Amino acid sequence: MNFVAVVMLTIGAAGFVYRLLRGPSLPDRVVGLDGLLSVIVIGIIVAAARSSNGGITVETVLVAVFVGFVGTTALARFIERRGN
Amino acid sequence: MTPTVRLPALIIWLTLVWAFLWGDFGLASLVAGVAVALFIVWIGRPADVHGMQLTSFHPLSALVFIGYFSVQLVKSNLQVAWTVISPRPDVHTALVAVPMHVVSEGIVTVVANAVTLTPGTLTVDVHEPDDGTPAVIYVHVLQFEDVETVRADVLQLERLAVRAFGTKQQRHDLEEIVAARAARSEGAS
Amino acid sequence: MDTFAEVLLVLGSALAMIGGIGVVRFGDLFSRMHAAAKAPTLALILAAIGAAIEIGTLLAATTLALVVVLQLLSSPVGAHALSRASRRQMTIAIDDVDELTSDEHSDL
Repeated sequence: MNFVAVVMLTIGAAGFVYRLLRGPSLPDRVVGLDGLLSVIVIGIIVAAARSSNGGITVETVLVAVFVGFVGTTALARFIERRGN
Repeated sequence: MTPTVRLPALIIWLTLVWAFLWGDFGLASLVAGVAVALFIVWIGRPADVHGMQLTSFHPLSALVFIGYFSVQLVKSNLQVAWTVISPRPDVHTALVAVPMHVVSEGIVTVVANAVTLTPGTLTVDVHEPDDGTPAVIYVHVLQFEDVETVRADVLQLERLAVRAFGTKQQRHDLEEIVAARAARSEGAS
Repeated sequence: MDTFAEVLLVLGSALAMIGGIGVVRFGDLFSRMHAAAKAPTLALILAAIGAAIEIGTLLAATTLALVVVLQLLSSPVGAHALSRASRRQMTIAIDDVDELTSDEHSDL
């Protein structure tokens, strides 16, 4: 089960990385980056569920969600001003 | 609108967040939470408030709204999954302008966010005219059929949101609009 | 109870995978945003619920509850900010009706 979850997350991450590298525009790359961060966050949650120390690891997820949101919005503002 | 109604709700919310972060709902923790909440509200008080906050709250209708919204969230993901997996996705996009009927910014925000998480729709832009007429939400649709379907879906969302968060006057006005629409479509068919 | 949590975690991963495939398969920016805004959101929620059940402590449950609420609030707003900014900078292919462009042109 763990293996299945990891494989699926890897495939998802690969998809987002593809979009991040290919573009073709900057917003496409932001979509890829934000998705990649979400996949990493889900990976942390899955790992935290398996480990005995899960309660502490979960705090990092909280911060990561914030960072993802702030980052995406900041990039959006950048796109608005500076273009592609 | 009515800062006296808003303030306790904000304090309660912030204290809850505090308690949730510490995982501690004991008396000492809650008192500390209230103190921190008051401090935050004090230093963060807005210089110019005009209608952004949701002014009323009806718990039962809010639950209905959250329930409907959760079901929609699941359905939207099922639809995305189906479109992704099927060998020939029938994507037929469009950008539809959907005018709102209530003027409250808070409700428009709630509806615009909810639209993003419902099947097939995504909020792209919101135009808010300065002169107090309702805002217009621009919705991007994946599988477009016709404009009226999109507007009807969003109206349904708006209706539930107003029931949950709107003032009596807003609810009354919206119900009238919904009834008028229903009567029109009855007459047409 | 544990298998239910496992199922949720796997479902969350599956949904994340679908989101990743979606951004590759869809042809234009806005369609990709459909996948990128909806799939990771629900995936995160499912995984968080599964992890909360599996870890079992109150602290983990409350923290994950906060994560869910934050994700629900921030994901659509982020997508909206990005869509709006992108439209100002580039034209996106739309198959059918496009009322935003016509509205903007009539305002100008």
